[in-house]
Amino acid sequence: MKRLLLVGAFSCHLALVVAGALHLTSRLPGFAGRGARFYDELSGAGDSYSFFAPAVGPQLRARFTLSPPRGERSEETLETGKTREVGFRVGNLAGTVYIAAKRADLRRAFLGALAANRLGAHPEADHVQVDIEDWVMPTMAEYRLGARPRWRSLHDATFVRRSSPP
Amino acid sequence: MGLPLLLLFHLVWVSSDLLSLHGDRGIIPWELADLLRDPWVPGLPTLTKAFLPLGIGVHTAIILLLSAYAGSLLALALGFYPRVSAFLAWGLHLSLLSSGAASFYGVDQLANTFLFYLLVFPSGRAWTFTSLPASARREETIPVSCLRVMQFHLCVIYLAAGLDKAMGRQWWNGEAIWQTVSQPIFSTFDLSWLARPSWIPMFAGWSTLLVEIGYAFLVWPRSTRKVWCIVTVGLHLGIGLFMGLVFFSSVMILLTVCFFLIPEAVPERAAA
Repeated sequence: MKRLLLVGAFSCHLALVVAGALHLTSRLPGFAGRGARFYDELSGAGDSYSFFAPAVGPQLRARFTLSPPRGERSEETLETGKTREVGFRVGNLAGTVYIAAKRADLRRAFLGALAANRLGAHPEADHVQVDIEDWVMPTMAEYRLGARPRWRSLHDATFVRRSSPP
Repeated sequence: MGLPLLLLFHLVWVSSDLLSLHGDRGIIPWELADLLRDPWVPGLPTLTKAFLPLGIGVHTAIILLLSAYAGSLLALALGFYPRVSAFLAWGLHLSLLSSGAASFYGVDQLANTFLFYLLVFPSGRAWTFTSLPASARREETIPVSCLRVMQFHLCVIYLAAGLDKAMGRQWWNGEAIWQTVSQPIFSTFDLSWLARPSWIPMFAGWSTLLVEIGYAFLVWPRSTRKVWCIVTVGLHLGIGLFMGLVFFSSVMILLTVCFFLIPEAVPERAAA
């Protein structure tokens, strides 16, 4: 009996693994769907594994132009001074902000959060321009003909530090 | 013991930026991170609330939780109260995953999956520093059925990754490799010269598809198992070298070695 229960449990779990890999779990309706998705969250059984698939998306980054009241402007990205592993993570973060910023009601909040983070790190700055950019990479054929990669701005916003209220 | 040690190493690796990624006043503050996460899975904000009645502030609570995560990973690696350690490691990893949803990537999901297996399967019996008396040696394994579940899951991961890639034209004409190694975040060497002998990225793309799709079928027969494990390890060494995804590659190499190479050398024994 115990053996039968174990086989049943393992089979259900592996069925969810296969359903997740086939991108089916998110489409399951009703209570069963909600239950399956919760179990997926806990166990990772419902993950899909589309790493760099079906195509490689562009790299996204957040670039900041910081302006002090006097002196020179400076530029930096979230990756500036970070290790490569942290760079992957803040790169994903820029991607998340880009997706969130497609919604008008969230755009200001997310771009503002990035701006506040940089203004906090640079107390001398009173303006910051936030640019969410993607890396436009030419194809191999275009590259052979002389095209070169470049960063392209997707969203930008400027934030000004307000003096603390009295 | 391999996975907890890798996760611990990774935690130390990113430790100087943990509060930026997961803190209440991190790059994405919790109020916004909450919009991205599943409300049913308790993230760090929920866990830190439990410390407030004790007079422990949010910042201190985050430090305590991260320390508990590190401690549980170490305990799990050493085989010290493996079930309790696995529960803590998995639960805290899941919380970090949930509240750091904006910055996680594939390897974090994989780690969650295999920490869950370490929790539900009797992992503490194999490959830990806990010494067992000679009479208990037969117990120093995990059941074959548990090993088969993890092996099957790993095969699904490779097969799904390979088939999803195969559906895109980029993986057949070499553009996927070209685009990947040319992105500043992944670029470890200047490989712009690859645009001219375009057969090299095309060959690399085809090889990736062959290794990933073939894994599910060729890692099982004894005659091809060792060869396929070696080419898979080679693929991940390449990913680590040319894309800088060292942590991801290390985890994937560990899984293949533990699930297919070691069990072959030591029948009916597995390590994770």
